Amino acid sequence: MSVVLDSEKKDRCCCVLDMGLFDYAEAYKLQIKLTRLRLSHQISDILILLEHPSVFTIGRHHREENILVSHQLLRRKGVKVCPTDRGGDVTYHGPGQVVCYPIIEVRNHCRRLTDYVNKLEEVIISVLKDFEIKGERKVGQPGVWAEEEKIASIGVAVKDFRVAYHGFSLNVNPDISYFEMINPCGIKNLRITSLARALGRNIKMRDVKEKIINYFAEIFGAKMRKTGPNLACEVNHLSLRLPNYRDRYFKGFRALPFLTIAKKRWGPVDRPVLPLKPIF
Amino acid sequence: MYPEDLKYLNTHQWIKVEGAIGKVGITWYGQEQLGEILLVELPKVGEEITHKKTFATVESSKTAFEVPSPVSGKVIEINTQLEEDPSLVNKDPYGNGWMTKVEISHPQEIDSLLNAEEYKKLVEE
Repeated sequence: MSVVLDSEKKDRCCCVLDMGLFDYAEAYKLQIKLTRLRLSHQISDILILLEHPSVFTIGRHHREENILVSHQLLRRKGVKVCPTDRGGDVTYHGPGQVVCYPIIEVRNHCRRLTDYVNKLEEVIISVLKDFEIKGERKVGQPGVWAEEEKIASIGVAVKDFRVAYHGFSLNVNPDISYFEMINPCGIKNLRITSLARALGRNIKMRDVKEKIINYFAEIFGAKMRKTGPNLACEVNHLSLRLPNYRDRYFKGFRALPFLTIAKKRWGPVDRPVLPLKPIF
Repeated sequence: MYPEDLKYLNTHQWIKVEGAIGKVGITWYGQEQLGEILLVELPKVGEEITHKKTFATVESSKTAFEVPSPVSGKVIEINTQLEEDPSLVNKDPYGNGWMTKVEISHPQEIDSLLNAEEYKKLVEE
């Protein structure tokens, strides 16, 4: 599998990178690297899907009063506050919330850069529809609402008027109480909900991710390609290295049949038995 | 839409060179791509900016667009009107929507920019 795809295929091809549970700051560094690679046409579009450990992130023009509790309390609860370069105010990310970072050449998919957020909202609304939830937009407020409660947030950055990064988050079954510590998106008294809350039952993260991938492909007209060790290898070839690669690797890639075989032959293994150098 | 007296960067920024000073902004096509601009973040006076590197950010609804600079140099003046009325970039991109004035440090960079004809071709293809 070559890194530099021929131009026609490259324009519509999108690699899916499921990172499992991944630190926000590390994911941001990865996004920046991938954005640069995309700008110089060294890789195709990438769709990153993951969950973050509990963190509040603040956009470029956040207002400090939108974090309602002291930083001391946040430290005690082990919640970081990370400044970012995306648009928007403050928001919460945590386990149970799927976060999606498309790193894409926007003009290949949208006539205007400003249509990009609309299309992301469309992806979210389509996913919700599959769960029989009516997702709605609100004029002047990006994101998606279900019955007047916010279920998904969007915050995007675009580099060189070409490649978008950051993206959106959709509440599947996060701990909603964290949202009470902030004015989410800078809006006071904003009510937050999740798929689990709206439906009154547990929802599998895996199912939501599958739907996001499928609707992203449909709405953006992209040919999705699930990653495996090969993309990790390509990414490694371009000198991308992430810390604690073993943990990330196992959380990120679920299907590891060769590991099971190794276990049967040699007993429990504590490191991957792979022909490739594990990356992340 | 493509003033002849300006030079252009392929990421939709323009520069008007007046001696050693360049006036910089976003082109008509560039602002059209962004939609309604709600916030403009400009560099500080005295700051050094670099050719093709981000020097300013404009925000529309929940999207932050990083704007690369056509030239390198020192910022000598910024358009403070944009703080009050960021939509000037949309309404008058070549006039009152100008963003910064730069003391150009590497004049040879201007030769690498597109002229009106070339920029028009880029936009319309």
